Amino acid sequence: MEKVLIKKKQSLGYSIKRNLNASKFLIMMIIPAIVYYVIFCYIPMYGVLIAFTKYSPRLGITGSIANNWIGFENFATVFKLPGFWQAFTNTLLIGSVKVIISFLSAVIVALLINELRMRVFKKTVQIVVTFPHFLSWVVVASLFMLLLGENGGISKAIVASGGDPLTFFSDGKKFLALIFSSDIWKEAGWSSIIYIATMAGISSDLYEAANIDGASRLQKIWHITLPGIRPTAILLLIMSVGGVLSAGFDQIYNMTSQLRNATVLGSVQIIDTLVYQGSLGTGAMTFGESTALGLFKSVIGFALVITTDRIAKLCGERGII
Amino acid sequence: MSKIKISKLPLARREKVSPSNRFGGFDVFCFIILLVFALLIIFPFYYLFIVSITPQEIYANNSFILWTPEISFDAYKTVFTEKSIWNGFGITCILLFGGTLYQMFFTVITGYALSRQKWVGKNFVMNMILVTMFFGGGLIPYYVLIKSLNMTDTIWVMIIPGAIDTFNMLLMRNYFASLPKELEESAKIDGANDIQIFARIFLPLSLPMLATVGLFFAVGNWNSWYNGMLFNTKESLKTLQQVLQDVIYTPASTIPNPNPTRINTESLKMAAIFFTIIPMMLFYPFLQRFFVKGIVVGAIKG
Amino acid sequence: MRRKYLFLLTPVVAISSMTLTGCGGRDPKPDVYDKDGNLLISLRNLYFSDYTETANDVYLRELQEQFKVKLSFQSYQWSNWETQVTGAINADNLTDVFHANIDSYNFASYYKFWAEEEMIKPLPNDLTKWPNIKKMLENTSNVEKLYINGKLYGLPIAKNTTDYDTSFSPFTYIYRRDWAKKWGVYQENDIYTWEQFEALLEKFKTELAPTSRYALGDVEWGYPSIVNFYKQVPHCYAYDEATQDYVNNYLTDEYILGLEKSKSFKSNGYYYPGQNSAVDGRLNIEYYSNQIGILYENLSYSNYEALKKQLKISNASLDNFNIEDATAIMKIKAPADSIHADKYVLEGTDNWFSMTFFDFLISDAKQAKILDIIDWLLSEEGTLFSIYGIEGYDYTVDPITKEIELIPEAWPEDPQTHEKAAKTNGAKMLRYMGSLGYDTLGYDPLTNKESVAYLESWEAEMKEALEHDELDILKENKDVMWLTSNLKARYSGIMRTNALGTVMNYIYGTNRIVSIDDYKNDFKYPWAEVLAEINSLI
Repeated sequence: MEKVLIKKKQSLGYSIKRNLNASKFLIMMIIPAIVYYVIFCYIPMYGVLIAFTKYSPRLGITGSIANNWIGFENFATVFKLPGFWQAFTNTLLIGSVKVIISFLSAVIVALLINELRMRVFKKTVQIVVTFPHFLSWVVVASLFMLLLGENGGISKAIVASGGDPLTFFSDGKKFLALIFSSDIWKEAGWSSIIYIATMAGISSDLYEAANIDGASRLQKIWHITLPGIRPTAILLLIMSVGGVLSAGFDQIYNMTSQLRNATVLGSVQIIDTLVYQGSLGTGAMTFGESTALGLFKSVIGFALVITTDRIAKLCGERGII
Repeated sequence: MSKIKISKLPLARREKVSPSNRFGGFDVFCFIILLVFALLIIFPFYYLFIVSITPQEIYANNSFILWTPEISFDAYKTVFTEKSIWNGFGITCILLFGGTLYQMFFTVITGYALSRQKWVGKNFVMNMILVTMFFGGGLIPYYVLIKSLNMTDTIWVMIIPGAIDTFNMLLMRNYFASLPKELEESAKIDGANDIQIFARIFLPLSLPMLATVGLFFAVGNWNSWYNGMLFNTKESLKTLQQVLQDVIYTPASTIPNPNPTRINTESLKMAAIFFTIIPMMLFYPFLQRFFVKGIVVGAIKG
Repeated sequence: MRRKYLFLLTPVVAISSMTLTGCGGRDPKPDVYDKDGNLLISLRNLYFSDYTETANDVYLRELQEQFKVKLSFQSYQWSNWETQVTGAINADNLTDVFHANIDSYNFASYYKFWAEEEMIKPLPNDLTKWPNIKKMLENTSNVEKLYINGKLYGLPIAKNTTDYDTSFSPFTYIYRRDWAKKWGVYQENDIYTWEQFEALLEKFKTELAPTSRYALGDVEWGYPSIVNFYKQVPHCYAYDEATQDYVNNYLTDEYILGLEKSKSFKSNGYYYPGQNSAVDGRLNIEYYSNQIGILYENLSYSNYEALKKQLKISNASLDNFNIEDATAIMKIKAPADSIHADKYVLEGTDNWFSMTFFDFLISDAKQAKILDIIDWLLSEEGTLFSIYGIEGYDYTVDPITKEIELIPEAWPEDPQTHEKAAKTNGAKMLRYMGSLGYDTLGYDPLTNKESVAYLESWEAEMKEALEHDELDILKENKDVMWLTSNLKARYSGIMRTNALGTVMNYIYGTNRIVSIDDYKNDFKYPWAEVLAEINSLI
């Protein structure tokens, strides 16, 4: 018995050595990355402990952790903040609707482009619809306000011909719709790329067989194309679930004019904007508390990804972990 | 007609052969929907341009959508003669070229190391990297770190901390992983060393993905402002996006500005915005074709 | 097995990194001199963002030689000021001198917190060495509230260096006098009763509507301006005579009366429709683009001058457009149903908006040096230097009359507008650490004398009205305003922000708050607790 164990150990040590030898080059290549991640991601990571302290700039982070430890008090406080639960539900609502509509819009755009058979137009359309992805939200928000604001180009034209100006930026419900549609405007084309390519990868034999059976194009889409992109779709859905609690700070911050458009802010106030407002503008949140909220968000996001992954696996799909 | 024969034909011709694939109502439907969508995307840019070339008094006193009653390039003249914009442009160009190369280098080698055969601790490193996608320390520890590295008020703060982007690194890794193992093996038999295999075989084969990731970094650098805002206090280090924010944002706090130097008009703001997006508009169509291949292999085959 | 790593990893790295970054503890900053023996001082101020040509600035060179210092200028970005200040403070990355916005709402979480945390250095108790600073502080409103345990932790930047008692925020209506005249609703001397004001609005609306323009717009933080003619106090806490308690200002009868008025103005179509989403000085742009007839604005010389300049450009194509006649300040008397009936109403304010702070870690000697510089800049000699420059080079003084004469070669003019080109003068920038510069407007060669004179005459008129009890200045009780108690310190900022949102929502009536009951409901938490705390302490 003992002998066997020793032998095993030896062989393990040997194999490690051999592996190290064989992978010298790769290990050399990974060293910068390890240094990078340790310095820029892991060293600052101890900062999450601020969430359990009463943060003091004089003591610094380590000093606060050593001297001002208060346990879960910060969490209790932020959950009681005015507007926290509304922001929480808003976040869930906006985040999940965004996941769904961005998925649907991407698939629809991909289907349309896939079915299109005018080559030059197809190329052009793809260039056009993917472009907005690369713009910052500052620019996109400026564009939308310039055009759809109460005194934007379209409102001006409507008013000039005797109508009422658009109210996207003053009516909470319409504004919410605008948040979703600007998201589609900016990202649908880009997210569709992946589906288009997956569709291109579906074996043409399947379509030929369907042709022989006399299937219509809609039938082919339903029975071949959509099932063909299912694994991809599920994979991407799982990945996007982790971001539900993020719900797009950049977008909301810029579309609400740096959170100053008070008429619509209530409908779109999310956790991230609340943290921003609370810790920078109004002093309602200490640094300990905003860190606590950030940590709360990370943990839930992480849990969501793991859970979705499990569910997907239980349903017989490939997960990501 | 046998199946095999058909599948050997080029895609476009193959489609024509099938009876249900004749150009019909469904094609028109697709065409119209996509045309509308594309126009919805183009139109705001067009309108932005129109406003930027409209003199203030004309913009103020008229409602127009499709064409301006009077054209003036004064706003562009102002933008082009503004020193801070050129200074920001210069800084951004440094980021664009220097930063992108630097980021590409580290991201690509990391992706490569994680894509090849198993080595001791590979999974550990991979998980260590994945965790950072979910958890971070927040603003203050990051600030303290940057400060202790003496990077505040230098251009490095906008470059060095961006060495590896986890998402791009994973794209790169997955692309490398999708390339057949046999390539490496046969090269080894031919006596190539590791560096040669990486540089002479894998890199050239990964051109589409390199282009994709390179473009992501380039666009990121072009749009970069946050680190500059947080860590740089010198006017001479402002990036183009920071200068753009200064132009868009007229001081509008309750703090009075005793010394305002710039007064904004709509056309000036729009000209400044247009100035920052025009390079992307010009280069993008040529780079777009790289994406489809790169993205898909990178994102899915993980 | 892999997941085990994840949970092991974080604490391991965390602990090791703690040792890496080292423990906190702040060491004093030693004084550093350059090779010529000049003391190095770093300064950060919002107003420095326009000042980049430090290398070629002869005035700065002169000043540095005089004080044996070497100054390095750093600035903030206007749009991210708070983020930059908070980041620098909390990560302990402060310049020797820095600038931050302080008001009664962030007083506890900024000023008081920083003082308690020993992030900012108090001024010496004895300021006799710096007579000009001392004099300025004596003329600063509410400065006594800034003392913590007998110490003042920074320098409030004065708007006016003299006479703060009558200071009011010149938040007021500016209007198109030329339009009022054209459409026959102009009143002599720009004085309007409430009825005349409403008539003017109605007329403006009728005339402007066909071209999709609007009668009225408020600068974004001044909305809804109409309520000013009704309410008792500028912000949150009003005093209720009947119960002798502090109550929620936004729920007082007076406020709600004004709120209903604002709502009716909105529904009558007087207001610019994008009012609620307007930011970044949008309404100023609309005003000088001939889009609105009346602008409610926080008036300062620079704002007013900018409006005039742009308005002139917008109407360049019109013949006989006289800018001095086209725009003017409106003087409106409150309506009869208001507690301020038939009086002018202005919002009270402090005569300072922001403060200059010193890093706690700098030496007493360095702080004294900086105070020397500020004090000199506030002196007559220093003011002349920062406004005019160097005697004999930029200006001459008549030996008998003591009158100042500019040397024309040193002040090139634009041949068309006859405006003098701005000079790069670091001393002028540095002076903003002590004063906003309103005190020097009257003789600054770069200011438009007509505008300055006009604003001064308006101010004099308002002061006279105050003496004759024709003007009400809305002021919050100082003790409540600057009181810092736990709940108030934490919530008053967010309460004010949320209140503004509620008010907006009610006026626009398009969101969750459509009835007055919804409106009242929105003020439940945490108002009751905060008010109870205030009342128990006052």
